[in-house]
Amino acid sequence: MMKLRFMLVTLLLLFMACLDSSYPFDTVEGPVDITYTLAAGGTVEVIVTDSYMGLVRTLVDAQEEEAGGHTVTWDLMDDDGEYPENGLYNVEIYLDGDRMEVQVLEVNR
Amino acid sequence: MGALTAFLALAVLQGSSFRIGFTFDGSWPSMGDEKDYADLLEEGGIDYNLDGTTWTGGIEALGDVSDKLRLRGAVSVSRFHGVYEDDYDPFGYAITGILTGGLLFLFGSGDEDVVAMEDAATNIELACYYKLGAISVGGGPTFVSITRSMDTPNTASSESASGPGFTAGVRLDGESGGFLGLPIVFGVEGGYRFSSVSFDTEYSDDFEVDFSGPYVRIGTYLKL
Repeated sequence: MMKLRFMLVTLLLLFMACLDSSYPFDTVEGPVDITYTLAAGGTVEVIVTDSYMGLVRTLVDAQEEEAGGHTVTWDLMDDDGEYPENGLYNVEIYLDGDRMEVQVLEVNR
Repeated sequence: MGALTAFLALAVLQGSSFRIGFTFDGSWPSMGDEKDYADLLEEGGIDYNLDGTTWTGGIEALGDVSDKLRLRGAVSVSRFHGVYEDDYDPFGYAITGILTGGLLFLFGSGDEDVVAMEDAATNIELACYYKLGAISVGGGPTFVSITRSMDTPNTASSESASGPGFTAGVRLDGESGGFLGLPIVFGVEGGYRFSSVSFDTEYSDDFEVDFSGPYVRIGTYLKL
């Protein structure tokens, strides 16, 4: 009986592990820290766009930053202080006008 | 729809040759903004793939209003997809398959649509062709209504927009024939479709879903 229970629990754990999937984006339900690393200092802009590439939020607006790691927090609101609809959003990081990095987030409040 | 009905009535009343049938076409749309969005997701580490070809199915009617003029009215639906699929790992797929008694192997595809985008366009077309022997050349206005939907594991969203368009093409229609005793004829058309709609959303007013591009259409018609 113990063996049967052990097998069932093992199979259940394996099944749960199989269902678990890691996607190349994070799902966020509340304020999220955006981290990025600059290889060189310069003028930085960090914006959030939606799946129509429309501007939702400007997190960093043409700010001079030094090389190294930086963090900015997005409270999941747009520039008007409203919550946009749930969906896929892109955090675009620009250095001296060139897009340096894109981070994709699934917002599900 | 009123114009389409009037056209069909005219074709039936005037036409020495009226036919109605099903069509199927393949086209190669430009989809510039969809490609830019795909590039953005690629930069974000998502292996997002867009369709290269758009498939369209429809119903259309053709009627001659004179020896030289042929009218065409059609309603069709086009679909264009973008998708990021997550492959199951082989071990997990095997275990899940065994635990589901093999049902996964029967009905599962081994991958999952994680990000799925669909542009679905409903097209209403009216066209006039000038007959040059066996072929006819012409075009006409279209009206397109597009719904763009985007699904992710936990969210779903969609927006709709509509606008005018235009098609121009060359047709080759069978004028006589039969199949299994029925008056069935075939037709083929190649041309170019101008069909671009801008989406005016809360944060964007210039995202274009652009179905414009060359197309090849085949049709099977019942000749009345």
